[in-house]
Amino acid sequence: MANNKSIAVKDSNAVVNYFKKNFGVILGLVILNVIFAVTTKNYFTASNILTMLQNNAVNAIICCGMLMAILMGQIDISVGSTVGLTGMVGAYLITNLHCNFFLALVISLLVGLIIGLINGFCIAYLKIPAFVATLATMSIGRGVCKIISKGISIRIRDDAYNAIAGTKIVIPGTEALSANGRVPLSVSVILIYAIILLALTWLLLNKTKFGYYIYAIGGNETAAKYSGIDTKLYNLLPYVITGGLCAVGGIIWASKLQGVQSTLGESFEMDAISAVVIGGTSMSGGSGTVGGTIIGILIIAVLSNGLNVMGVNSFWQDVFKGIIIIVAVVIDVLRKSKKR
Amino acid sequence: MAEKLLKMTNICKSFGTNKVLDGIEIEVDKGEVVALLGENGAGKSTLIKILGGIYHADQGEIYIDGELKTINSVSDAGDNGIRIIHQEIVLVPDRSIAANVFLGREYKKNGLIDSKRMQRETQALIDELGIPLRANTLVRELPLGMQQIVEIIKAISAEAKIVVMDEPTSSLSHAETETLFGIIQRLTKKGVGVVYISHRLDELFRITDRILVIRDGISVGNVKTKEARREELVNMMVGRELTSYYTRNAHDVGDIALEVKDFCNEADGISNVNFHVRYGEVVGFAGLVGAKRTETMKTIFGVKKKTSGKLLLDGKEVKINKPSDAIKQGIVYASEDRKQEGLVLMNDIEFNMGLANLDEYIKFLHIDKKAWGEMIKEYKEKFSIKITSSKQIAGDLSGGNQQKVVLSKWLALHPKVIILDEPTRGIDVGSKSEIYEIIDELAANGCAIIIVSSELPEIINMCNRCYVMCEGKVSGELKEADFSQEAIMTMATNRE
Amino acid sequence: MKNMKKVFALLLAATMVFSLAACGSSKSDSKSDSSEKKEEAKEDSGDKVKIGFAPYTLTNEYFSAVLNGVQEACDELGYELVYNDPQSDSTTQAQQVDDMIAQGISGLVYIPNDSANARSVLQACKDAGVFVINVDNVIKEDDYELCDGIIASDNEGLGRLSGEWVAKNHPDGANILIAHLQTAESCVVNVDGFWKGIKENVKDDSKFKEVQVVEGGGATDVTYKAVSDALSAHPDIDVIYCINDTSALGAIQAVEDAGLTGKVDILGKDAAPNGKKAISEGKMVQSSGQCPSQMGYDGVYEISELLAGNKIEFNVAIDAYNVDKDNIDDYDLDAWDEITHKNK
Repeated sequence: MANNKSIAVKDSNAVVNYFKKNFGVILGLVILNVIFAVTTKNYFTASNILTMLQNNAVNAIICCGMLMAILMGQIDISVGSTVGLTGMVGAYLITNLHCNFFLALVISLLVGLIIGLINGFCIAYLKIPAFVATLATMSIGRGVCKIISKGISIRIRDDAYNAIAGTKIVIPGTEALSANGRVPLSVSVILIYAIILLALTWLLLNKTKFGYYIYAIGGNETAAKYSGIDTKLYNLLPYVITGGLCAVGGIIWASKLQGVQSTLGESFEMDAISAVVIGGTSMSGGSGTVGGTIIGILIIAVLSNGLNVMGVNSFWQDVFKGIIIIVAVVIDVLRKSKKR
Repeated sequence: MAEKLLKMTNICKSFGTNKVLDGIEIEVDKGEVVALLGENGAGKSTLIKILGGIYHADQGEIYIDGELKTINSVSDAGDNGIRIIHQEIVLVPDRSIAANVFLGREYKKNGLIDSKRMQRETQALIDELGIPLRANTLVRELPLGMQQIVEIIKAISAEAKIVVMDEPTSSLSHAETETLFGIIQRLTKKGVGVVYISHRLDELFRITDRILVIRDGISVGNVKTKEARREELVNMMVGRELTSYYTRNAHDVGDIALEVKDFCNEADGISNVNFHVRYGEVVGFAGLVGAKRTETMKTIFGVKKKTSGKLLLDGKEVKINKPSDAIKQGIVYASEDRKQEGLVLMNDIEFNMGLANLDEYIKFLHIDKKAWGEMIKEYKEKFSIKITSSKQIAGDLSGGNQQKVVLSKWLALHPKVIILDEPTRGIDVGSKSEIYEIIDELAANGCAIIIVSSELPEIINMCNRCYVMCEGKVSGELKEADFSQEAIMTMATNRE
Repeated sequence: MKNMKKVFALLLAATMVFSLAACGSSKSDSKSDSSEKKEEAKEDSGDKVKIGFAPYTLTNEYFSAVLNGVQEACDELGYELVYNDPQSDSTTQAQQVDDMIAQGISGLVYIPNDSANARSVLQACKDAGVFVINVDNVIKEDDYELCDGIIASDNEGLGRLSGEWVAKNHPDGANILIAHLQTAESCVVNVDGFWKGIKENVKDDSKFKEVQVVEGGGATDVTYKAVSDALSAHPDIDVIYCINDTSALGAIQAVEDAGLTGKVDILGKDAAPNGKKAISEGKMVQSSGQCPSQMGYDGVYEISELLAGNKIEFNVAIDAYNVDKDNIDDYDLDAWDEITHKNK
């Protein structure tokens, strides 16, 4: 009640505001970077940073959907399975059925959207708790993925398909900055997809009715319903979008690795949920931003890349991720109780 | 002279720079019922939370039986015999009354829970208080009002010296209120001191011995109930003379706006409701708790499904299946439950005021901040909403201001028919009076208004006409000339 | 809403029927759709010997290859095959073996999910008089008494072959990255063998440096990320040794992205179809072949010997073989290993 002045006096400067709002996580990100830069020789190099960003671009794309689900006070744990299934469907169509490139893309995307639709329908219209509904679709998706592949990985030898994620934009004259000093740096097109999708998500959440409705439903679903919002429809749509985003993620991985294994996407949901939560999104819904989520994604990225570059055993990486999540949530809780 | 049971002296408490309590004094004798009266935001709940150990006072002492006590936590308060009954019900619905009453201090026998003994003792207490309940009933099966009573039983089952009740009657029916008063009388006979918080002055006159009025964190009056006068109390509370509490100007009544014909909703037990409201008319809906007035209005608004019946707007039938249909037709409903059904508390005022009308302000990727801001400014001035910025969080506002935000949200749509469900519940006297002004002005502008209210004076003083409901049926209709509390109550209890 | 619930209930019921049908068909070959066939099968199963196959997962092409071998041997011998996929869960695997015993299997080809927890399964088989041939993932030595025979790849030998390749092609030393699966015992043995293979074939092993071990989980995507991170840290890597071909595919992509194609030699393991294709395309340099199909095939034949009352060799190690660009043309790129048939 007392100090809403800090909230009330909204600075016109969006950048300053962004830093103020996400101060804790930004500080965390900077500290992590400093630690790795000081302790690890090849961490703070242009080529490593590019590699790191590219490796986490799919997580960023999934996070766009996960953010919406969590903003509504729900969750989607089927994302990893959907990435695997859509990737597998695309690979199967291209390699085993010699399907047309565009058709394969469209069908993969449709599969993602349909899974999203099933999730959304179960949650919004049948009132199945989100965790349960997406747990079920996760299991179904993973199962179907294994049925299609018969447990065998499928290689993709279609140049057009492999170019989807394999394309790079070379920055001329940057040979000196690269890891081996011979090839110029290049920006993977995956990174560009991720940036575009993050930007679209920002627009969707901040500049459209859809976004306002998502925040309203997450903040108080009944009040939203009484304000004339079709809460069922707007509960469903984010899942459909998430399904589509996962399909994009699946296609990217399939194209990038030029093949799909039936375990593709396993535990992707963990990284996505972690990033969104670290980014300051409340698990009970209603509050959270794309900006915060980006920081969350970067923290996850820096942590796994940095520890890899440092040569730390991957089992420890899981431990560190867990610790960071606890710290982030504790900061969030403390910040909220301070307001009281 | 015996020591006072409870004495709090010079209590001060600030949140940031905002001084909420400034040297409050309160004394309660054994067996005395003291009312705590004040507008919302006057500091009543803060004072209670300090007594209950939820907040810590910046200054001041608390004496119990003349002994200085430090109360730092809820359990400290409990150890000193202080029991606070909050407005919200915090019971475990799927456990029995007995299990709830003994929650956290269960009896044990051989290391196992002795449920028979708990049930026996709970039943003894229930019987002693003269309440028709069985200790093994599940809380879920009780009506809301009775759950509140269970909450009270729970509070006093452990040895209580001081019982604080915060708006205990807000969800109670008439009969349940009587039960509550019976409980209070029994408590006082046993020497328990009671602090009673309520906005309902009638209740205070009935059961309290003394009334302490606080305003802006200071005590402004401490009067014996027998000697108190209603106007005097109201003036003390608001700090100014309220020349006219209700605003009502004469204006013309037009054609029939909304007509409800043979309306039924079987699931909620609403049958054959018929009524109409004209443009410029204020129509009241009176009735007891359980009369299904709110359910009827929610069915009209499309939140609940009707099973049969017709809705005529301007003489033409309209189909309403969901709230958005109603809003499109120009029928809006301001819920009785602002926090659950009216506002997104964690979001700001701008967000909340625009929520029902985003089509107006957001056109694809362009947000018309100017039009939005102007709307907020218009209603802020019109209703004198006390906010520092449109970015203030709705949950931080006082009840009165929250209600004004809800009203602004709906009025910005320029509705034909507005349904106000308990528009002044939990709102301080000053804001109440302002909301009556708003209602009167709306009617003058030709809006058709339906007010559902449990406060009879509100209906009597504000409405042109009123319907009385009883158990899902309209049991009577009264014209202004025939308004009286007796007439309404007779109809409200008319169970055919 | 009521209608919706009905529809949902129907859907649910339909799904369950479907999934049950699916389970049924995967469990046993004898359970076909048409009732005619069923009866035939019943009559047959009276005389047909049943063989159980208990892998710890089937969502891995290596184990699918074992299954192929088992299936082929059963077809040749006229046995009926019963198998399940416990999806890497020891408890499920134990229950499934119990079910198989109840179905009357005479022998079991067993790949324990966890070699340390194999005893109860072995005991159950022993009690039921079921012959057990343990393949691939070898049980603990003190459980040998409960088992009738063991066929396993020479994990150390597999690694040794790769080590030898490195020693031969990098005589002046190399910076080596290991893309590991540290939770698998066989991979640990495998990597040990790799180092032995190097040390035994060079004069000065100090020039062969392990720059880093990354966890690839045996999966393409995980290995891709881990290897690309490691390449950032150590641009001077010469050799990447991957514990299977699937993860090697991730390493190939990571090397390509780092612009190091042709400068880093990638070695895999298994000589799986995908691995052999990569070798033929020049993206991978070597893979040590295992014989999963042969292992499954031989397992069934050992059971047949036991059923006939003959003695078998208790512990059989299947030799590893080297696949690199020099001999890749000798192999079928689409299959795992070619089974050496016994009765032909």
